[in-house]
Parts: sequence; C-alpha cells; structure tokens
Amino acid sequence: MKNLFARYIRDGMNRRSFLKGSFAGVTMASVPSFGRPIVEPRGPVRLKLGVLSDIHITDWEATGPFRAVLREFDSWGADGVMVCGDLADYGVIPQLECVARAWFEVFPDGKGRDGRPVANLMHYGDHDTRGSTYRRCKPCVKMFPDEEEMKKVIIRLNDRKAIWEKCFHEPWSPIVHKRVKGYDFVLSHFTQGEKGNERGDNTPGLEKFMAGLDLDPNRPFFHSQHRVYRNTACGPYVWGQEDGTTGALFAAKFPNVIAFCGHAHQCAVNDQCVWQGAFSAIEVPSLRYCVTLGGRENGFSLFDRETRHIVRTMPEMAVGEGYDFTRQGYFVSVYDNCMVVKRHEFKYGVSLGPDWVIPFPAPGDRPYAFETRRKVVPAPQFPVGAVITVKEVRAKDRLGEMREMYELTFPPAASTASTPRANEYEVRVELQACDVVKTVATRRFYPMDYIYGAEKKQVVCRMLKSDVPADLPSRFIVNPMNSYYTRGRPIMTDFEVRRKEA
Amino acid sequence: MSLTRRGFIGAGTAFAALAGRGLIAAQGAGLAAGKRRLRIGIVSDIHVTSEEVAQRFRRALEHFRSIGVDGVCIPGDLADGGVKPQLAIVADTWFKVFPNNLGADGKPVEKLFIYGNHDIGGHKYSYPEGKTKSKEWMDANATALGDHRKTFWEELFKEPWEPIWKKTVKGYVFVGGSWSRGPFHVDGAPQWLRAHADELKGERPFFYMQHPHPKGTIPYVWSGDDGTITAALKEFPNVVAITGHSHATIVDERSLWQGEFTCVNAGSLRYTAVNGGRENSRTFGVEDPKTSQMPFIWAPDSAPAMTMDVYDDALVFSRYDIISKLPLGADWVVPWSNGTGHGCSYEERYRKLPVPQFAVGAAVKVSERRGKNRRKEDVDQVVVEFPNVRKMDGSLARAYDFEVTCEVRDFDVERPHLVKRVFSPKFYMPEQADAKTVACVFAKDELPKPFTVNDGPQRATIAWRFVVRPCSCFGRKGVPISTDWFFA
Repeated sequence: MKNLFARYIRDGMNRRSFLKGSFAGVTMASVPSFGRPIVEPRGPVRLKLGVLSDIHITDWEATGPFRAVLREFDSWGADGVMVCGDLADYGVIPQLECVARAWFEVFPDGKGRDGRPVANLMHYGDHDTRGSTYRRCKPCVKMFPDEEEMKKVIIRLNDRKAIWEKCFHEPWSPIVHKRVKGYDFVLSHFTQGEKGNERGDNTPGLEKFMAGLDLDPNRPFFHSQHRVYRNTACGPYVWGQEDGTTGALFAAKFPNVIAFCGHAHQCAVNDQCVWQGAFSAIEVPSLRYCVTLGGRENGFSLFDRETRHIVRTMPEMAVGEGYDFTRQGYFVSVYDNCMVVKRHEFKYGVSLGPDWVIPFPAPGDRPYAFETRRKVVPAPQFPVGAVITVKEVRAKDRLGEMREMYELTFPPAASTASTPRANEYEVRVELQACDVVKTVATRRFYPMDYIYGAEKKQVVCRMLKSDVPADLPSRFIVNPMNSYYTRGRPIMTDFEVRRKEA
Repeated sequence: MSLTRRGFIGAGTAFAALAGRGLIAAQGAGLAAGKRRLRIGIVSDIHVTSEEVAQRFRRALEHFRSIGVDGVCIPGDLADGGVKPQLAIVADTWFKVFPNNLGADGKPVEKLFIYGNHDIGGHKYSYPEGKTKSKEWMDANATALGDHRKTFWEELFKEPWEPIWKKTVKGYVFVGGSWSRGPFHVDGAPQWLRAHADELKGERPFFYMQHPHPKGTIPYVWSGDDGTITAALKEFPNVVAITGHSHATIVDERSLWQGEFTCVNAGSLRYTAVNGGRENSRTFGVEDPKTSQMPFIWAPDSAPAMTMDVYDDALVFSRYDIISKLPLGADWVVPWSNGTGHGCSYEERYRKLPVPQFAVGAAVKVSERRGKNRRKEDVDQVVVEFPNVRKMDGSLARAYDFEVTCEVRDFDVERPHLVKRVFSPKFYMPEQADAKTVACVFAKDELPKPFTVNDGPQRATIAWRFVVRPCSCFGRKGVPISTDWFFA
C-alpha cells in the first residue's frame, strides 16, 4: 500500500484509483501527511461524510457536477453530506429548488442506493439569503423581468423557513441539531439581518442553543457555518471571517468540536485549510470555483482587487485558466480515535494532497496547529537539474496594462514520496554590488495548475523589467514553498547585466 | 609592557601603547611570548603631491621612529602624479625623519619601498594626453618616473634600484617588486621567485611586496594582478605578501588573507576607497545607481598604518589611525610554525570571530523628509535610523556594515521588498571617531503604499516595516531589530 500511496500523492488519482483508495480505507488513512505519523486509525469506520461548500447553483444545468459528486459520495457509503452554505447562487427560490431536486434525485427519501439513510447537513450561506443583492442580480432580472414577480422568488424577501421546509421536507430553524449514527451535528444557517447579526458575521443564540444539547465533552461533534471562524483556518488574512464570537465560544467550552466552514472558497491544496488551536477548524473549498489568498501576482483574490495601486504582474489565474471549472470537496471517515479527511478534485479526479488525520481527542500539542505543522511538513523541492528559462516579453499586468517584463519558466516542484508539492513560489531578484548580494525585488506566484490539484505544468512567473536594476549584474532566484511558507532549495540564474538604463 | 589598552591610551605614548597592545593580545593566545625579532612599520598608497600632503607621511614615519621600527614598508604609490618632484618630497621626508637611514637610537632603519601604478604612470592620470601641449604636461613628462625609474630613484633615495629587489633586515628577507607598465603585475616576479627559491624557502617568514593584491587573495574590485604571481607565491608557504593599491580600509578583517600563503592589505595613508554596494558608497568606475538616496562616503580623513612585530612563533599586526593613534581593530595574531602561518583563513575567522550585536533595547526610528538623492534630485525620503554597533558600547564585535530590509506584509505574504546595505558614517575610522547613530535612506516611492481593506471587523492589510541587522566583514549577521508594521 505504500507504493499505492506514493503513486497517489505523486501522480494524483483518477476516479477509479480514488475509489480503490477509499476502499483501502484504513491503510491509506494510516499514512497521514508528511513527517511523523500522527495516529493510526483504530477500528471500523463509524461515520462517513461528504463535505462540500459554496456549490452556487444557478439552474438545473448547473447541478450536474453537484449531482455527480453526490453520486460519488453515495457510492462511497456516505452517511451524510454537509454543504457549508451558498447553495443558491443568487438566493432565489428556483435555484434552491434545483439543489433540493438534485439532492432527492440522488438520495430519494433521503436514502442512498443501498437504502441507508443519508443525512442532509446543508444550510444557508450569504448567497442564499443575500445573493439577490449582489452585482444587481442580473440573472434574476433576466429570469424575472417583472420586478414584482422577482420579489416573490427572492429568499431574502420571503419566508426562508417555509422555503427550506418545502424544498427539503424537514423543519428549519436558524440553528439546527441533528444526530447521525450517534454523532452530533450543529448547523448554523446564515442569518444576516437578525437582531445581533446585522452584519451577518455571527450566530445569535448559539451558546444558549448548545448549552441545551447536553453534548458529551469526551466525544467529537461537528459544527458547520458559512463564514470562516476568525483567525483559524487559512490564517488571519482569509476573506470573509466571522466576528470571532463562535470561535471564542468553541475555544472556551467546546474543544472537542470539529468546525467546518466555507465562504472563502480556498483551494484545498493549501494545508492551512485545516487548523487546530483551542478547537479544530476546517475550511471547505467550493464545488464551483476556487479563490486564493491575496498578495500573489497571479492569485484570484477579492482583496487583491481592492489593491489596485499595487502592480501585480500577471492576470488572475482563474480568468486565464478556466474560471469556475475546479470542483473540490472532502470525504471524511470517522474512526473511534480519529477522522481522516481526503481532499479531492472531482472534475479531474485527482487528490489535492495527503490526507489529514485528526486525532480524537486532540492531543495537547495539536498536530494541525500551524506552528506544529511548520516544523513537520517538509519543504517542496525542485527536481534535480531544474533550470530557469528567462525571456523578455511584453505582457499585460493584472489591470490589463502592457508592460515590459521578464518571463521565467521552470519545472514545478511536484510532490514526491517524501516532499509535498509546492503551494507557491517565491521569485527574488538579487543584485550583486561589489562584495554584497542583496534582494531588490520579491514576488510570489501560485503554480499554473494550482487550483486543479495538478502539478505538471511548467511554472510561468513574470517580473517587471523595472524590478531588475540596470547596468549591474543581477540574478533570479526561485524557491518553492509549502503551505507554511517553508522554502525548498532554490534554483537560480547566473548573475548578468540584463538591461541598460535608457 | 603590561599596560592595558586604556592605560596605554591614557598615557598617550604611542610606542608603549602599540607595543603593549600587540604583546598582550598575542600573549593572551599563548603566542609571541618570546623575544621580538623584528618590528616593521607599514603604510601604503601615500600619494604625495606636495609638502602639505606629505605631512601625514611624516607623522607616520615619526611614529614609526618613536616605536623603534627596523624598517618601513610602502608597497607602492608614493608619488601621486608619478613625477620626480613628488618623489623628491617623499625622499626628503624620509631622510628628515631617518637621516642616513638611522632611527632615533642610531640603529639602521631600512627603506622597503616599491613603485606602484601612480609612480610609473601617474603623470598620465594627472595630465592626460589631450593636454599634450600644455606646459604642465611638458614638465610632467620630462620628470615622469616611469621613464627614469632607476636614475631618479637612485638619485633621490641614494640606493641602487632594481625592478625586483631583495633586502635582509635582522635576518629576515624582504622582496620588493615594483609595478611594471601594462598589466597589473610585476614583470618577471614568478621567474625571480623560482630562481631564488632556495634562499627564500625555510622555517622563517619572508616578506614579498607588490602593489596590487595578488589575484584570488584579498577580494576588492579595483585591484588584483593577472594571477601569475599568486601561482608563484603558492610555492612559498612562508611568504607574507604586503600589498596595497585597492585603498581598502584595514578595518575590514578581510585585509588579512590566508590560504597557501599569507597576504596583507596595507590600506592607503592618503584616502580610503570604500567598497561599493552600500547605499552610501560607490564602486569605483561604476555609475551611481539611480536609486541611491545617500551621498557616497569619501574618506580622505582616514590615515591607516600598521606595525608588524615578528616573533619566533607568531606575527602580530597592529592596526591604528596614525593621527589619533587609536586602534582600527583588534590585532591580527598570526601563529607561525613549521614554516607557515596558521589559523587566519577567512573560513576559520568566519567561524571564530564574534558576530556584532545590537545592545539590548536598541531601537529603529523612522522619519520622513524631503531630501536629495545621490543625483541631487529632490525626493520624498524615509530615513531609517538605528544605533551603531561598537565594541566600546559592549558588543563583542564592531559592525562592518548594516543590512536594512524593507519587509512587506502583503496579506499573509511576508517578504523582503528591498534590501539595502549601509556603512556607518565613519566605519573606516577608529570606532571612537565613528557615529553613535547610523542612517539608511529610502525613497518613499521605493516602498509599497500601505493599504487596508475593511472586511467587517477584519483588517486585511498591506504594510511594511524595517528590519536591521549588523553585519561582520565576513557577512555574518547579528540578531535583527525592527520597527513595528506601518499600516495605512
């Protein structure tokens, strides 16, 4: 199985091999991430969960990928499917009805193909309840030219409880408690506009609700909400965090919670999607499209769009690489002593990285604390003999302005049996001036095929010509980096005078 | 001879101080405990143009006389313009201090001088051929040393001259190879060394002088020969090469090099040429980078000199400023055994020498101003100020220069945005004469504009800060100090 695992992380999995891997369950899961084994799964799988988020359904046609993934989950024996909000893209009833129709098509009467119950663990996100206000809701206008008719289908303007209950044939409340095969689930719907939640960044009444549940403190339970638990998964700079009240509640009273969230659309290649501190949190990627963190030249980040005064040298990767085509999610197997989270890209059938194996109860050192992981996860490394090719180009920057650039191309630092794939690359310009070598420009880049889970494409990075000093010898130096910013060994060009001052 | 440094400086007696300091340092290492066999004063690149300029040279010679040297080494560039009248001033100054080549106590003091490139071709630097019809050029050309190097030398210094000479001082051999016209080397030196190998090889050191540093030894731009002499010197593990030409500061520990043999940079008594690559320096012959925000350091006030004491088991080089008599660094004690020097390679000293460290509580201050860049253009600037790192303030080592990094926090990305290196204002002088505070200047448009995105209660930001590290001559860096992040 070690060979299978090595192939799994080296080549990615096709759909068939993923299924084999799933059936191989225990052994696969026993090989956690790089570094020391965290825990060996013990006993049979007690619970299987499909976990998705931000499916952003627009119409029946758009449910195709969703239904396909539900069928995958069904075939893998899921006992429940969690979707952490943003079901209906523009928050209109017909879209939510499409979601429900898809659900019941795959799980008629809430049951899988073998007759086992499959729990609906979905809830509203901001798009479900506010989406009609985004970008003037042009599709809504197109679907419902008559404004009065349109108002009748906007969830925000109607009875969200009745709409949900009609669609999913189950009672609705802002906070829901469900029990699946003995495990407790608490689901917080996105309820912006309620008293105490004017900004949509917390869950009023959650503490009181949970106090009434009599949860077993020695057993893990699961929570799901749309917004990211503040300063947890994906770090303090991820888009769309809650105000911190839910995280503070869990930290103070529920260290045994496994808390799932969405909204940020973060790519699950990023190992920072799992976080441990006083509790455990997992950011769930979108089944519709990925968003990256800001600060990279070719990232796809909402924050970047607000920093127009900063020159980013490349277009947003998703625009050029197929916006809205990656489909990511998790499949979770719960054992007596741990849970194993498989990260999967469904469209291309590839793994997004080694499994996360989260022990129960979380030991004192919290193996998925960023600081702990930083020490354990090895740095990615370039293949032996990797070189940088440099050519001069005129290309558009993020804002579409044509600029003189140097385009660097080099092979990816792909995953191996002992090292992870590069989460990103740091490119520096070093200037040789007399007896010193000093950095005069640094930029970060995501790999070309980052959001697809692939790692085959040559990496292309562009540096401004003005990043390179005129008339002095300089070189480009590239480090691959893992999700915790640990740098692998660099590759570099020779020092040379690349340009003369005009 | 058991003076402490403080007591010695207080006494103000150069002889006692320098001798005592070297001896104490050497004895501390268990070396140089025996009888001193030889004492040599060393200056280089004195570039005399006039009686006035020669005053610094005279002070050096007077100091050497006061500490009882057996000889004085000058590895070239005596006469700045390479003309006889200038060399005459050098000779006159010598004989005024050492009449009949005798010291204060009447014992012989040997001249160990050679020609450098300025002596041989300096008249062409001062009077380029475009001015061939000027009277100055005619006068200079008529008295150019390059065409009359033997006759003028013998007339002025009252001794025979050879392109490569050999002298013996108290049993120690000195070889001097004068600058040849053309390439940066001494014509015939490799052959000469091979021909005299039997006389030169042995347990004792011998001393070889040429103007440029042998290629592959002391690493400065604007120096270095063509490499043939280095190859020849490698055959002599007992050779100590004494060289100049680069005008590099002898504060720099790299002025003592050791590989297959030992080599010393003697600096320049006239002015120090500062290494480029720093915000306040320039590389000779290279146009100033457009982004330099500070004027480059010009160091005519430096007056470095050395005393070399030779013991059976060690050579001790004391470095000091000839005007203030203050040290320019710790003595170099070169252990000597089995016919060669030991323990002073760059690698060994990289490991052994202490790393400069900021004092506890040292802080970085940042201010903004409207100032001028290197090109005299008005620029909005950000000035980063921090304390200097000096031994006298408690650091185990003096900083050679500082690395000042502008780090950017671009959301979760923390990256070096721009790195600058900067010298303290008087880094080439004794640390007592150096500034307490160092500044490094950035143009405001070199820095990213801080920015904040409000996302509910969250502040996502682009911010920057400055991180400063003191650096040793070998590039080792001390613990950094930094500012807080600057937000919008």
